[in-house]
Amino acid sequence: MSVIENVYGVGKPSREIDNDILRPVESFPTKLWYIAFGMASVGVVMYWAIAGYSFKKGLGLFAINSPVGWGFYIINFVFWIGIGHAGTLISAILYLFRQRWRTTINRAAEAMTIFAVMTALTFPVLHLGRPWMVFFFFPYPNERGPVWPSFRSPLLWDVFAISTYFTVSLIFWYMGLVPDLATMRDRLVNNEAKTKFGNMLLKLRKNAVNILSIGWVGSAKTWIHYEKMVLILAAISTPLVFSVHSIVSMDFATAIIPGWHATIFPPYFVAGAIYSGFAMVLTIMIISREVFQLKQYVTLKHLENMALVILLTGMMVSFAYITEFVMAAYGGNEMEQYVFINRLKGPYAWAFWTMFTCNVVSPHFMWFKKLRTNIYVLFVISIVVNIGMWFERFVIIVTSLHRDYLPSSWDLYTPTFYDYAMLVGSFGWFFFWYLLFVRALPQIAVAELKADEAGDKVKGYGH
Amino acid sequence: MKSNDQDKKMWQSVEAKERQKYENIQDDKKQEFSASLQEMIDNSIGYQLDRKKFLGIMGAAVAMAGMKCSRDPVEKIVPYLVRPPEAQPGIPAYYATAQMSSRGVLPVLVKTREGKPIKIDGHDDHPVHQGAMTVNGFAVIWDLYDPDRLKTSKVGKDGKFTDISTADAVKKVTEIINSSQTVRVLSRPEYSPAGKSVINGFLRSKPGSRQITYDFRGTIQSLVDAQKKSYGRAIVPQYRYDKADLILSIECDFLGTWISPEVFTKQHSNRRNPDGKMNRLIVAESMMSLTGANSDDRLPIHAGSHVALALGLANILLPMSQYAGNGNILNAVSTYTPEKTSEITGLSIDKIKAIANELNQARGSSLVLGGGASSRSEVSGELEVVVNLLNSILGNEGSTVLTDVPMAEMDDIADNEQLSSLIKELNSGNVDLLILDRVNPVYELPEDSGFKEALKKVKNVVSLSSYMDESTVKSNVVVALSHFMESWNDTYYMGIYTVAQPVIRKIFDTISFGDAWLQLQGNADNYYQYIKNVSAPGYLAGNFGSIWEKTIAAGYYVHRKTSGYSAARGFNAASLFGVGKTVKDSSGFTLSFYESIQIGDGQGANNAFRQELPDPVTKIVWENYAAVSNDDAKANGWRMGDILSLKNGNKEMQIPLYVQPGIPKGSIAIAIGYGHEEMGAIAKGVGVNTNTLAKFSNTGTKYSGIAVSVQKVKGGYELATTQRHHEMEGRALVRYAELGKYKQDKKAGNHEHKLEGKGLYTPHNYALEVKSDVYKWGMSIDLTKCTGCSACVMSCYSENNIAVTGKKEVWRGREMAWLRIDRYYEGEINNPSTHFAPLPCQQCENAPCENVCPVGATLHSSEGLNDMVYNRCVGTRYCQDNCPYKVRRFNWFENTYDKIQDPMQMSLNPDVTVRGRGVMEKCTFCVQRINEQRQMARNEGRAVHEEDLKTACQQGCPANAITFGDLGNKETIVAQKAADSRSYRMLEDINVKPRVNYLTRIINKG
Repeated sequence: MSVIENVYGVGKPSREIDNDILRPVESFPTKLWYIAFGMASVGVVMYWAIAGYSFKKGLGLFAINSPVGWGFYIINFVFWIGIGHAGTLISAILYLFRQRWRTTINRAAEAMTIFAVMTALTFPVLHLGRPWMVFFFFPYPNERGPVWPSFRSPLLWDVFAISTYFTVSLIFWYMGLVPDLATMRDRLVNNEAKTKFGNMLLKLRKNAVNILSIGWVGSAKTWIHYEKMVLILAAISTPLVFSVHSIVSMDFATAIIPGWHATIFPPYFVAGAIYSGFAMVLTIMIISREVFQLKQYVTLKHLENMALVILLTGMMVSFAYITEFVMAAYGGNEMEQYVFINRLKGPYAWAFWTMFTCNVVSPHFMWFKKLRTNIYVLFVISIVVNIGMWFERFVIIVTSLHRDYLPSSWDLYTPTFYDYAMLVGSFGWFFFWYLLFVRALPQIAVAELKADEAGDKVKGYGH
Repeated sequence: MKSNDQDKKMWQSVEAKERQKYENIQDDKKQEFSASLQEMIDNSIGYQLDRKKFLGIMGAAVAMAGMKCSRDPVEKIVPYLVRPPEAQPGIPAYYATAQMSSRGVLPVLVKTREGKPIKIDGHDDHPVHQGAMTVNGFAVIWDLYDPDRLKTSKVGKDGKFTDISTADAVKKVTEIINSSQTVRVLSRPEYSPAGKSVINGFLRSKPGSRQITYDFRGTIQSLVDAQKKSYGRAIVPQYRYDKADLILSIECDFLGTWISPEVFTKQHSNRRNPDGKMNRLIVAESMMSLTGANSDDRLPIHAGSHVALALGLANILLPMSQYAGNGNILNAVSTYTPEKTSEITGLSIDKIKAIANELNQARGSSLVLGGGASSRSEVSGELEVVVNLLNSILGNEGSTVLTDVPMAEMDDIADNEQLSSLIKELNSGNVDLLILDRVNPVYELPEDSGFKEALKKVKNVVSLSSYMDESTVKSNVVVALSHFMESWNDTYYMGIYTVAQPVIRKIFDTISFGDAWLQLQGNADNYYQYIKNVSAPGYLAGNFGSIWEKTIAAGYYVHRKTSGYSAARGFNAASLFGVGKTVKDSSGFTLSFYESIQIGDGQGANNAFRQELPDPVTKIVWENYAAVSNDDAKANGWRMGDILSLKNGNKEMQIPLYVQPGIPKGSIAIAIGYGHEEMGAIAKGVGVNTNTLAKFSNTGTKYSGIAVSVQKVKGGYELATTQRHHEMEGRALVRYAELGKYKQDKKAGNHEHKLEGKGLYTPHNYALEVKSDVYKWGMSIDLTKCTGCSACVMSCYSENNIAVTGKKEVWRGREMAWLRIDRYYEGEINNPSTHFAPLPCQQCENAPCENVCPVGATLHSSEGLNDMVYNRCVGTRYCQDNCPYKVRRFNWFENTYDKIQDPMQMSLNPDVTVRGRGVMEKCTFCVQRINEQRQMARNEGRAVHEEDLKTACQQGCPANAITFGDLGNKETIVAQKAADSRSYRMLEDINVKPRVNYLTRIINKG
């Protein structure tokens, strides 16, 4: 086996790595954190207050109508599910491909996945006319006949795809955390707080990490089992990366509405999801490495790699856009053709062109090394890409629905205050969890990092 | 214990004293049993409990926990042993009655369930109407249950009223009558012989009283005026659309609002048969009416130029007629050369000549019509006189215009001169009492008539009304009138005598108008006896007793039957005197008012169902608007959503703009009947009252050709519409062909390739699922017959408990109509051809909604229906997204339970589930009717008879455009229509296999 130089090596002793990465967890929050958390909490309150209000009053609060039966809720749902893609891709696929640079970003990306899926999951439920009847979705033996859900419906496939994805992601994330939790446990043993109340909290925390680290001892045997388990989990997760968004895309692809009814949707959605997921990881990591002084762990090289993934997936997405247009032109279906003409110059053309600029044009800046190693450029582009991806879903859902087969039913979709508030609130809900995460758990997989570092010295990487 | 102070409590009134007594009783009770637990605990704290006592109490408590303190009061229920034969719970009873409005008489069957009227249907057996219905005919069911209807009578002054019982109110009015010298009665056109004679009886009993009858919309007034002038008799003649090969309508919306549109639609649609002798309809009009939208040839003319067009045609046709030598006629028409007519109307000379030529070709079998609100000019009946002339010239008199059995005789309608002398009289202060009998003149008469001011000078105003409307609030005594479904009445219309029976006891403390008038003249009879003893014997011949019963039950009695021909009346040339004087060259903007199909004259404006019914042509709801031409909008930079200010002299009205294709440049059209200031929660403040700009003069009320200056005031106003896109975008949705081409090729216009696609899933195997009664329900809609009148939509609303949502929700695109009528324009924007297509759920065989529902709430039935299971629906709306026809409706809010007000719930059909919030709904093909008929057929061991089973829309269609039945049986009419060469299915190329067939629209281009 060849010895590969670890270009991502930090070159610090383990103790120092622990200190660096666990610093935010073990110290008191900063003012900045409180401000951010306060803002996120406002978003959470707004989000659930509106959800409660719509629960009481009805979905009429939002702009959805006939023919646009799905609006911001489903756009947000697909958007957040898409964001939730990068985590598993980084932790599973890049793991299997032995991509070293994933080590410092996988924890945060996985956490982001969990929280993004948590955000996404709220939408389809709140989006129901009668959310209290959501249990009708689950196939369980019942006394109503029994009446089963309809297995022909892509929405039901969604239920299984997303719940599986969420469960596996959560397990994967948690299992990855166990050695780090053990490190936290060990480092907490001798800590003492100044006040009685502080001691109480500290005790709570000690107990929590104690329980969560499920008796991790760090012996060689444990590690062998652990490594195997991670490998198996990675293998299980890998198909899920493709299945979730493929199935979400089938909500549209199996429908007969022009603009939805397209066979290219599954790969197109997966590429888009990875695209937006990586952009979100980039956004978060750029902030994290700055705020938590992790620049030597998450280096420019890491960011550059992510930028290249964005460039690649961005081009895949652009290709899908072009394919759709070519297919419409080539297919000779006038309804299909109209939808695409309508995208270019209809009442929602501005949304299409926003999407086009953000998703098709912006990634091409990444061709230039100077630009893709510039933090500011990366930060702006990562945000622009996510704006573009949100608009992509808007274009797919709203512009296809608002003008379908019969011109008599064509109508417009004018979002209300509640629509915007739910969109903003969903970011609040996401960051609420993410901010709690950065204070409670290490954002970089300490154990893995230390193993990489040690591996440099002992045997190199690649077995 | 009470203190002494309490005993000496002061009391101010008897009530207070009584209350005090009651409070004392309450106090006494308090001492024995306390109502609150806390009190009991407090009381027991002082109680010394030893162990034994505690256990004793606890034991007692345990023992008593399983007991109740007292026996339930005995309420004996009484079984319904001897039930009246007509009261079958669960089985509807139908009663024939007749609905009367200022427009005419509409015979109906009222469907009642457990004593409550729930739906109005057409009277299929009626010899003239044959079940024809209108939008309004269906909507009156909600008037009956309108919570804003007067619940009791009122007395008051200056808008402040106190409730009194109706009996007392009548007494009070009697007192006022007795103390008054001059009494005036203002009433509306009356089609009830008993109603006429009962008022006449009052007038005879009260010396110094006089009645003035006026027609607000002017339709009947100007028609009758013209008949009187031209032929000497004040009648509404019979128009025979079924006999006419060529119909020319000038500003006359006979399919929508003119006199009895339902009868006219029925007759007209009989001739819309491309395989038979199809008629041809030419419409000249300044606005886009329903009739214009249905025309084979539509001529847009300037508002107010209709008389010129009629005169111009008469000028061309006169030399070829028996009146050629009549100098008076020649004088009147000769100035209207084709050139001048062209200049005034805006039509080309060739077109005018061509129309004249066509009319000439169809002598004796053509029919010229004119009239309606949009043709009212300063000279009442001006257009109608020239139309009479045209019909006389063309020899239509006696062939398509019959007088042997007139539709109605109306010799008592006042002209404007009588009205203005009444107003003068009121102003002079000499009128002691003005009785408003079911009229609302403050709202209805033009502002410049000065009626509103004159009303203040009258000592006493009594209003017989069902609503607190604009006039009622200005009266001293309001007598609450019953709805027609709560009262007896009789009608005589088109030679048919009807005894209109009540179908429900009075819901509120009201009185029928007949009883009111009888009591006011001190007649001890009730109105029922009066009809039976005084009015009916004049019409019913033979054994009165049995015929009386029969007439009530049947709902009609044929008094006079038309022979189909009548002698041609001689046209009196003197009637042309003064005609055409008002015609001016139009420059600038000219305004005309029209009657809308949904609101009509505005008497029923307080009905949300009428307000939410989209205008058949513009598809706007909850509003009236200034319809202007596209050219004008462009030239002036106006856009949809601007508010225009229309000014004539010092009068001004502000109204939102709507760009209406088909309106000629320079013309503006606005619907009447809107802009109520009183009446009820629904009517108030919706739209704008056109009477600000209408012009009242001694010769007539001007509704058309009013010169106005127009200015944009502001923009950003939103009109709510159910259809925002008006073109078919080249998709073959409504297929059509010209008659000539159809004669050559039966598949003309219907040459779409049908793709036999393969589905993902195996097709439904009905044979496996069903053991007996195999039906395959389907529908056929004949687009040649359909006029788009929307009666089917209203019928559907009533049958299926569909909710109204209000303007804002419609604006959002959330109307709940299960059946909508798509209207498409095609061709040039200034005079497009209009196509209608009713769109119920297409009940697709490969329904795209079914497989996407995750919970299986929408399923395919064994009879091919696409069923909706409301209590399984969770509301994902995926089915709605995936429906290519977008016929599914979602309950965005709680539309019924939260909003319905007592007694509106009584109008709900108990056979149809009321849908709650968050549930999807859609057309079911009236599955409740299918189930009822299937069960009845099964009980009798037979198949369902096609003629027994009608969907609500089919039943409501006056044009017989909708057919419903079993597609599986090749014998049925619907199956034959499905196999017709004109038959096609909408969007059939996407392989959803709809069960609704459309028949290509054939247009007779002559």
